[in-house]
Amino acid sequence: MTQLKVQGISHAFDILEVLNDVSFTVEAGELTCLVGPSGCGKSTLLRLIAGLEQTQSGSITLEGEVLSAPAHSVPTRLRRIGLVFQQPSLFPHLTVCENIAFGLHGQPKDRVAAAVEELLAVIGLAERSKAYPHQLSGGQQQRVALARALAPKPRLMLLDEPFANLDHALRCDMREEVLGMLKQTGIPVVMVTHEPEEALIMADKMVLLRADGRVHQYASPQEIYRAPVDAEAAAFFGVINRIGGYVEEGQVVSPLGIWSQSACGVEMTDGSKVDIIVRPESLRLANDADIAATVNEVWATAVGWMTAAKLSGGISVRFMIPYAQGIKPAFGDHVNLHCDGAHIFPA
Amino acid sequence: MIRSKSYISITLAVMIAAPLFIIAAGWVVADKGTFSYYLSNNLISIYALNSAIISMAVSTCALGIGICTAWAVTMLAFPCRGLMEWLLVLPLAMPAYVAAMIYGDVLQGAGPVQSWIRELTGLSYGEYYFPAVHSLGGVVFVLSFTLYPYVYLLARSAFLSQSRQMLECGETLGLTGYSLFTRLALPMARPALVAGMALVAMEALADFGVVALYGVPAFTTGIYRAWQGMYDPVAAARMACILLAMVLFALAIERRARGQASYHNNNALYHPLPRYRLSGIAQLGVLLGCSLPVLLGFIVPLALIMQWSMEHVALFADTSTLQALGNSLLLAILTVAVAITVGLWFAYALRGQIPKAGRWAIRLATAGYAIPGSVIAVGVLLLFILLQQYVLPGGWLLTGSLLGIVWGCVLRFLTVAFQSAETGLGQVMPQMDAVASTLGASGRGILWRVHLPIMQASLLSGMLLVFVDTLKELPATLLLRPFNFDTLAIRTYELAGDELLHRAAPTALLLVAASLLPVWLLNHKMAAAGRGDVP
Repeated sequence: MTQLKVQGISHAFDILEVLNDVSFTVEAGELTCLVGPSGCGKSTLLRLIAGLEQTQSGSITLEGEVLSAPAHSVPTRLRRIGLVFQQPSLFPHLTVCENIAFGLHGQPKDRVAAAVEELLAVIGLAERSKAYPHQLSGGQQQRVALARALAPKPRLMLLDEPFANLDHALRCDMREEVLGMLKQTGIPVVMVTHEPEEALIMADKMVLLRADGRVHQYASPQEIYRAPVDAEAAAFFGVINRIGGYVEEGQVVSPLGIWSQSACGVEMTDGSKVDIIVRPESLRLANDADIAATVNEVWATAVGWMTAAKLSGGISVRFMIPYAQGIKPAFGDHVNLHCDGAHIFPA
Repeated sequence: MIRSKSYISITLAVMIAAPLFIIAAGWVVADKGTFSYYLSNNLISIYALNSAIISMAVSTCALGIGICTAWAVTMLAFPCRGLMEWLLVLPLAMPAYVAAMIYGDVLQGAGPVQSWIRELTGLSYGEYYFPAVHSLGGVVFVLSFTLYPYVYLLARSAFLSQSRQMLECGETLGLTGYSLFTRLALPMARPALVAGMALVAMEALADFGVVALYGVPAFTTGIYRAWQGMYDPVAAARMACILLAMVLFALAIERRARGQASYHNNNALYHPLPRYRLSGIAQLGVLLGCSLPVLLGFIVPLALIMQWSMEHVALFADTSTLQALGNSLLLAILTVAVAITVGLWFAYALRGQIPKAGRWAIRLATAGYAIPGSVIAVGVLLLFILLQQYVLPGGWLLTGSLLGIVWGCVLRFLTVAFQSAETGLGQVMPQMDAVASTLGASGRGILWRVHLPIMQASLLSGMLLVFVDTLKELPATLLLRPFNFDTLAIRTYELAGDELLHRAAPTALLLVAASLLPVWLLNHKMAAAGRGDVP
């Protein structure tokens, strides 16, 4: 059974439209990432699901129960939805233990104690149960916030950039840890993130939103990487080479090679212009290749030398030379490139 | 729902601030000729000149004392430095009119100091020079030593919050001790210092007790005279307007300075600043220099009040003292209850969606702390007179009722209650509400389980401050009190005015004791901020 169903959600603040006909579903045990540029309505969507904003059009259903519709709204406190913000937002007057137990108010004491103890063990903070939030590190605070949200056994978890305030190493650790915890519970999760890497690691599905609040692409991260719907979607995962080409005798012609027009996905007449997107990792050095280029800039990255080179037509492209190859290009080097794949869109 | 709450907030704010609007009406209503009499006899210009001299001289002296002591306790290592750090705040607990009463007695011709000089030198009265205490200079002396802690506190916090790295940068660029202070620390602390100076100027302008006891004509005494002596509320209102304009000028300077307060680094975690070691004699000099303001502003007056109180122990149990204590407590409790409730309401209103006009109305209603008690009192009285003339003819007698005195005190001290509520509410991040409701808490549950516990410390300190400020308030209570309603402050002032200084000591001692509470609280907060604790 589909756990969360968001259907046709549109939302505006005064005249500013932030969400436009957004629809997606989340199954049990699935983590869906909301990604997109700043201001595209990701957090608003999360707030609508939590019931913190009144739905203007469309509907939100959880486990078959309509939570939000224009004339109907289940109060936030009755939705049983867990929410974790970028800031841990722990209650400063309560200890770790009391923070986790906040949502279990009114339940028998022994049951609350057992639930808190279990969660403390899961987040590895059993020894800090009596500490106050300000005595914890950022990562510890965020773990407590997660445990607090999980304590009342929510039907859905909402995470609003939960790792954005953590340093890189801690962020990587926390991602794995949190993913493990959430998968264990089987609760569906909706997470807002800015980080393509985070979405790739954590998400089962991704809702890529445009700046105008429309859904740009809704698919798994791997699919969006492999088959983006357009250049903007392709650009989400990092640097791309975007060069122009044209259709001639049923083929796409470009300085990076010739492809069959069928790769474009749409029928185009001869002379039509196209956008060709090539990821840096799809270009590689090959002595027998016929794309000649001259290196004009090189810089180090975590995985290899990111190299910028000019093609014979003056077009600049970037490509990656893994360190494992043992080659360090230099300014002015003449190289031959081979293109392993490209995404082609009508211009 | 939101709209109705906004309307309630706006109505409440306008109602509370109504006395402030009313005093402006003084210019359109005809007076009994007192104002033109004052004007033609140059009394208005004398009031204006004296008030301006007092505020400027006091703020300059307080600036000097405040900066030197704050720099010394922050940057220099000397014996008893930690003790001096909080002793220097103590004069805040000494109501200026109590100190004035003491010095008026001690330094007058027949007082112990001049008697001792005559005994020592063999000279007679008039054969030597001794500055007159019942003078403009005397007012400046008393106010400077009781008000300097405003500058001291702000300067100290500015010096403490200056980033250590910044001062270390200065040192690497060749600055040392004195030049570090004059070229870096002082310019960086300038917004805080100007703000402190403006606060002192406002307090000095608002002072009534000291100028009245020393017989120096100023606007506050002029207002009192016009009302109580000439029974001319319109003339009092006109003078109140002029005084208000002077205060607003000082307030504008303070706001401007506060606008630039981002000079220093407030976010820096506490790293103790390196303190300069001094030679033995220099250490002693600094210790004595820091002790002087504490001695003059607190210890000497306190010692004398205690001595006089011991001489009149029976007065503590005197019916009139107990009655004054009871009245003071009643007034303070009522003021606290109303001010904190309204302050909380306004803080919540500003947190939610409220039209711009509402924001302005609330800002105005909560600006009373900057407005002299005598101005507020005139506004309340004038409002009551107009209400009785046009709205409630033959109805309740509003003037001289408990309602008037509570209204005046609430308008005067609502700022404190509101700011503490706002500070408390500021600690509740909006996300906490969202999280609490996703965890099943209802609106009331969020208030009781999240908001109030977080705001508790701020609200308590706000209540304490309003309580003590109300106990100490003199001009507003003096003008607005119901018939035969003496408070501790009024009784102290009246006995001192009647030259019954020693009999005023017990009530004065009770006032000082009560005033120590907020000072203790302030020191506690300063210590916590110094340690970088989260309150």
